Amino acid sequence: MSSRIRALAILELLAQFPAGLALRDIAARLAIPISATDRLLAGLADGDFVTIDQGSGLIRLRVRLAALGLAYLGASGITDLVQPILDDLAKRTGELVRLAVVEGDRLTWVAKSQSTRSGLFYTPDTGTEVYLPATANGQAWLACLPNSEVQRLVEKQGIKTSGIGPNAPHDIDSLRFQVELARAQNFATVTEAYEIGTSAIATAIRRRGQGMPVGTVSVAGPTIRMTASRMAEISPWLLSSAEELGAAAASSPLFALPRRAGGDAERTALREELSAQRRPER
Amino acid sequence: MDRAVAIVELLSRHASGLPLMTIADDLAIPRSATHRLLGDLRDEGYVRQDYEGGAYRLTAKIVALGFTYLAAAGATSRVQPVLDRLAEETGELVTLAVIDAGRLIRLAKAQGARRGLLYNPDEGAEVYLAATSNGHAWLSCLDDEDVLQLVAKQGFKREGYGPNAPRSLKELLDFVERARVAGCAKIFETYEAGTAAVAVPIFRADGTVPIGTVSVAGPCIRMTESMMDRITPALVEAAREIGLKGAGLPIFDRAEH
Repeated sequence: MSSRIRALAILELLAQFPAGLALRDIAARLAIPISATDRLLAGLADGDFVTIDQGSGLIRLRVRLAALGLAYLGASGITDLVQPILDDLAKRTGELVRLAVVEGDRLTWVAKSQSTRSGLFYTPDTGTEVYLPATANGQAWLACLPNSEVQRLVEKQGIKTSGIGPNAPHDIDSLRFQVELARAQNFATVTEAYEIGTSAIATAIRRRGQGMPVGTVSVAGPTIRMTASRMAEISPWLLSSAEELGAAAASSPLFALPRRAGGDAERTALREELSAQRRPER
Repeated sequence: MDRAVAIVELLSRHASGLPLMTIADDLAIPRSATHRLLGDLRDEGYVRQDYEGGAYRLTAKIVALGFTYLAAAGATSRVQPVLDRLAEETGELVTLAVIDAGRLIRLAKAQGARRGLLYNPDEGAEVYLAATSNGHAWLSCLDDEDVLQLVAKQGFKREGYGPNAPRSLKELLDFVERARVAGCAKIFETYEAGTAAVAVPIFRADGTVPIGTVSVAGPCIRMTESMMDRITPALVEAAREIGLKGAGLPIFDRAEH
């Protein structure tokens, strides 16, 4: 990071250590001389961003940084925050970027951004509801849910055996394999599954980066460009966009938490079932 | 203050963005230096320009950074679920504010209203004490002398808030006294016309030192006095739970007052 904005590097570091760090620790971790670190910290203390913990003597963040983020989130409309994230990803990848949100048992398309870098476009003709078994978005969402939910949602929507891409899963077992893969990778990829000649990669958006998914974001394009190696290149960009979207989603009614009968107890049970699945006994 | 941080702070108060020259003039930084700082901030993903030469706006990165802190501090797992549940139960906007060195700072929210009329105010980080339910809830824990001192320090405004905002310090002390008696602070069109809110202080489990406040706010049409009376037990319970689970977290000021 440029030396002109090293104070932000200190804030980024301290955000990860809420209990605080010693001056020499901060200097060492950021490779900034101690005297310069001390000056930067004095500036941050002036601005009410950091303080010295009375008990431990460590330097720690005050609540101002988080409060500033919350105030900004409240001031900017959700679309002001969300659309630029999609636009950036579209520009970076040169492909179609789409956002879907979880609404109860459904995943619904809500926004997109198309980069116009090339003549060959992929603009799918889809309804408002994401077809779960054969789309990267659908699989990315299913990957966050326990197997019992995957089965229930897919049975509810129905598995198509015709009018879909050649690599679409035709039964729950082949879908389950895809979902396992997505769980392991933290993103889902499909190649000619929804539509011949097209491929996509998607990942889930979690509110504040944690908890149950509130939506998914994908990059889709012609298979000729969206090769496995291209998708591997795109995946870190996609994951970082999803993290930003999760932050933007935090107080937005656009990303309503799915309401279920049973509420918290059921959500807790779902989470427990999930964490059990993530750590299979060997 | 540090220049880069000052720019981020300034932009956080201008969601639609600011042109380079305004930023430079506002912060009294030479334009060439401002240009370099903004370039660095853009490279690190803190700001973006909609087009070359356009206004600079913050990205969601600062928001994400705030959430990183709240998650690492344990607030996301221990405090946020309490707010989320209260928002879901009440169907309105829940706000947590914490006391930091003599000021009340909004730190977390949960929106319970899903559709229709939705109250989502654009407000700064610091709570205006004299006309908000959170402010009154905190003041209700203090004696009149401390109340007047805090309100004077922040600046008492006679205009710019709701039609029922206190117009004098005497009126403010009446609000505070009513909150002391009721054990919760109710306001109707005090902060903003058409809105109402109820708030209670949060205490450490062991004592009477307030460490923050929590409020439920919504449109007047739903947030009637009888609705507040129905909500208050859940609000009190949420505040107790936050005090119990959250008092030791770094988001709460550990200084003794």
